[in-house]
Amino acid sequence: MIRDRFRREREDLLEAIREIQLLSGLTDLRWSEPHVSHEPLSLAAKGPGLRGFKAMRGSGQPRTAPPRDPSTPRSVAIGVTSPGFGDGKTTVAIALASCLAQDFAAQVTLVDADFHTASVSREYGLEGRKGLADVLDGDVSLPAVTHRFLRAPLSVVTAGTAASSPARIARSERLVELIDAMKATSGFVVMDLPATLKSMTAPVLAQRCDGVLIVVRDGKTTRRELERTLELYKDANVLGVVLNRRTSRIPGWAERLFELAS
Amino acid sequence: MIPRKFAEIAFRRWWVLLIPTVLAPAAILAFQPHKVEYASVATAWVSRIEGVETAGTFGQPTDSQTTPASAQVQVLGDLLQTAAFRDEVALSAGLVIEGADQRAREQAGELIVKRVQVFEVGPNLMGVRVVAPSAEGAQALGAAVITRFQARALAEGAREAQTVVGYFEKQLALGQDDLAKAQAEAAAYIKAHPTAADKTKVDVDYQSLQGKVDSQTKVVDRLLENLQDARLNAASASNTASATFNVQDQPSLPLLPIAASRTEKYGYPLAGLVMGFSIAAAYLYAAYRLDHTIRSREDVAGLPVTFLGAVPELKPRRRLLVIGRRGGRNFARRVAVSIPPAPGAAEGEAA
Repeated sequence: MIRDRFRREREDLLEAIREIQLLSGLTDLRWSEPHVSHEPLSLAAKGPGLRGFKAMRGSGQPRTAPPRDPSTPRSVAIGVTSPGFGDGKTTVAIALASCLAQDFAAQVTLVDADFHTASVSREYGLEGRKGLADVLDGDVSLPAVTHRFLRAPLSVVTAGTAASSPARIARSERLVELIDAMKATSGFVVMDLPATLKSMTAPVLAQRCDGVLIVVRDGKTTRRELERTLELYKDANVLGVVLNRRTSRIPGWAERLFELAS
Repeated sequence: MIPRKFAEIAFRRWWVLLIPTVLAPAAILAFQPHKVEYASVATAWVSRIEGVETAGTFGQPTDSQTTPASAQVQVLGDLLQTAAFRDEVALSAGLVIEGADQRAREQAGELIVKRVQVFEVGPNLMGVRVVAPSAEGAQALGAAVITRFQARALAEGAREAQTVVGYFEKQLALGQDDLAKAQAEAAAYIKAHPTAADKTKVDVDYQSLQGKVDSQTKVVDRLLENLQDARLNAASASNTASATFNVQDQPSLPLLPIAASRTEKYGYPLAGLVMGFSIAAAYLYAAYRLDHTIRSREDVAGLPVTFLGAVPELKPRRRLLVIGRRGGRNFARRVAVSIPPAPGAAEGEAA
């Protein structure tokens, strides 16, 4: 049953990724046909299963990562955000990066741009490690803070430990250069952005991305919050909305009987 | 088309729909007073007296459209509205004792108004239905109503007849006085004019006086006849009352209590069901209208953004449930292994 659920979730995400590709103009994939695996490990975006991934700091090469060809279409930086805390943006960002890396065999860099909570770092057990803020401060280089997985073409850049102002980081031109550098080495750069209505830096960071994915939580995020979020992102390229943690008590017969929309 | 959010709320809070829908009829059934009451019914034949326009017992005016029964029903209904009649009935039925205070008599009167029902059965047949907590009480109250009504009718008839007799007696006395005066005048004129009575001569004055005497004599005679008729009516007032209101069926002694009405049996619980369902539906609708959260694609409609998809929530299986199921399965296996095979089963399998 759990396996079936994983499969369904994977299919939903793959569908979402395809829509993202269509919306972002990347209709021709640089990579081979999606290699769909039904191992739940790659989708375990939260919990001990994901922590089981062995992160190798600055060393090791992904097994299936294809060599970067400069003639191929441009890479895409996707920001994942949500109106408030606890909507699941980090979970969706990690799941999206994992899917892209494992199922599409794409080189993916997952960037923790949420300097307030640093959720990605915590999920991967990389708390206290140097990251993006430290690179922007000039303490270390980007490869030195890029953590690569052995089992998947996935790299993780944590938020970092430098006590820089998030607003200053978001507005720095150096960040744009860093994102370009990550895009040069990865097909997809997935950025875990701060909660939009809780942080002033989220709209600025969103403008650095090629597209923004807004995660809303089922039964928690209100339409008004989403409207305010969209107003803040009027200068950004909003790819769409993903409804997270969706639960339904409607039995199948009722859905068929009343022809309920999905 | 039902919005998905509304269906979601309804299935999530199905108990909100269920509880009032079940509780409201149950509460009505539980708290509805189950009164055991008995009904006693009496019927009476009422008729119109020949030659008398006012057919009612009390001589109330009637028109050609009003039947005797409806007239009597109206009379008895009017009487029941009077405190004096109710007091008489209450006293007669034993609801109050002689010398009871005003409050007790008022309460008994209200009870009588509630319990006594007068109705028309046919053009000449009226019924009296009395409801009481006991069969004997219903019968006694019914009998009291009819008895007091008959007594009132009789008394009223007698009073009317006596009034008429008194009137004619007065008129007769006056008429006789006038006659005596006229006769005295005529006698005095003859005394003064002895030839006036001679029929060969015409005396205009005498003839005038004599005409007056004759006319007054006729008046007196007519008054005497009317007085005799009035006395006859007064003497036969009881018989007249019996003829116009004749009880055919005395108040019955009910053997079984009144069956609960359909309204009490089904109507009130059904009304409770409808009310409970309405409350639940109103609550769910309010919850739906007040829920501004995003739950489906419909909730994003109208916004300048694409709905990409939904990620279902993953819930780990409950550990205790898994352990319980595993333990139960192991126990079943152990029990199955411990059961010895039936004799001859091995041979049967081999065959």
